[in-house]
Amino acid sequence: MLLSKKVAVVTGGGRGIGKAICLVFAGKGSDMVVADIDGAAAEQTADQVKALGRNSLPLEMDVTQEESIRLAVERIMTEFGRIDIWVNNAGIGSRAMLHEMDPVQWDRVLNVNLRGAFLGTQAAARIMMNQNGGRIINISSRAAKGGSYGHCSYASSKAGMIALTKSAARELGAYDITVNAIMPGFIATDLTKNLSDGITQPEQRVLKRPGRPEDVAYAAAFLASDEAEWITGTSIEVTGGTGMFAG
Amino acid sequence: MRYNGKTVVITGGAGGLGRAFGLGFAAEGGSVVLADIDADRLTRNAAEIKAVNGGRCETALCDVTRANEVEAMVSHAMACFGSVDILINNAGGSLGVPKVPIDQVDEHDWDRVMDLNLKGTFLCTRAVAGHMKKAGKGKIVNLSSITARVGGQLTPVQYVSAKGGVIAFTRQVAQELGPSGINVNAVAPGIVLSGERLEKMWYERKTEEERSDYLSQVPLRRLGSPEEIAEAVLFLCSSAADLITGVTLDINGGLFSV
Repeated sequence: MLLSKKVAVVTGGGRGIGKAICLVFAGKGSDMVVADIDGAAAEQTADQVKALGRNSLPLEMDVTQEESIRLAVERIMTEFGRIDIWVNNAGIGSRAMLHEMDPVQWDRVLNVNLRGAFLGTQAAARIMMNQNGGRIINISSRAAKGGSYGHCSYASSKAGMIALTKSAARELGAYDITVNAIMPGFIATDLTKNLSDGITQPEQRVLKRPGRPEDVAYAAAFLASDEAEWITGTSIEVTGGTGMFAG
Repeated sequence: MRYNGKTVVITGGAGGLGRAFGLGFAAEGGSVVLADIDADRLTRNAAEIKAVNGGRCETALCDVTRANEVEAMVSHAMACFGSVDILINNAGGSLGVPKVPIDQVDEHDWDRVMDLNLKGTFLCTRAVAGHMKKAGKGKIVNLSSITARVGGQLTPVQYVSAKGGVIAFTRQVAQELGPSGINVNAVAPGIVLSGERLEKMWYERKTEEERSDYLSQVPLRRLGSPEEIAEAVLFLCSSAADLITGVTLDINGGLFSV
């Protein structure tokens, strides 16, 4: 199988895209560490991973807390002895027009999405540099390129993840660690199900069907696989073709 | 097997990348049609692809810059296998045209390099689009280049411009064909020693020091292989990439990405 005998960590693995990544990876043979700030959600995903016949470890982990990440990594290394793949997927949104946005909202989104991805990348890099190999995947967003009406903090954090991805790729390439990002378009998840009112402007899409969490998971699986060995520092848009109408 | 029952047309089928694409698709059940102007190498690559367990491969002598030859090639593919599900617009190259200052670029060289890389992509896409629309599905992957992103040290402007055109063409056609269930994407490889001309450029036209300087700028510290480009192309043509369209995927060891 494509990811057989790998050990993969997914932050925000309790639901939505993170959960789909856990299940798709497990289906391809990977053992899964399901990290989520919601421990119960992490356990539910971990149970589904086990049902697919793979080992799984649910962890309650807060990506904004260095100590929480440190403890998680310690636990992972005790259980599995290595980390082959780390997916920085944990993320939140915050809807407000920028002229009305409370800076506290801005800070919270940047803290979880961007600082969380930095801390995750740092933790993963420290393990993977010793292993001389590994895959880091950041779940960014098409909003990183296109901006997002009513979600400036979210879009800014996701654009920051792209620069983080490229910088990490430059530093870690010498250790055979690849770092890439995925920019999903609109994907139907718990995070996005309440977005369809006046403050959100859905982007046009050229393919008929809407995006599913699995679409993102398949792209992540490709980037995590041996097939993507020479791909680093880049991002893949998984959008059904949005943002393609410039007149 | 991801490509059971799928017919894959690969232009530039006589070269190193075309060979890797053909072997990759054939190994996963695809029926391959290799098109090129070089009959000898075409035959050689086809023989290798047929040697893959259960490998099916037909060849077509075809100059992608000539509309009538492209139409005949696609008709041949339809006659052989009954469908064209996947098109890889891989025919291309700089035709040995030297990089010269812009005020000295020969107009005829400009035309023939543009024709091979950009017009060829257009003609082949046009020739399969009707079949794919009728089928309500299809995958097209075009070959761009890292030089379209950053410019080329030894690469002539004609080639770089054509490969930039391929990126724009990819987006526009993806937009148009998306509602018909057809995905159109591109890959932009970094330096891959896929043939003699590229090997010559890498080993003879760069000094040892230039090569090592270049590699030190590549985060992964090495060049790519045709097989690595093939893996990305195969992914883009698979059902796992059904929601990916209009993109150009950079595959270059981390040297550059938009």
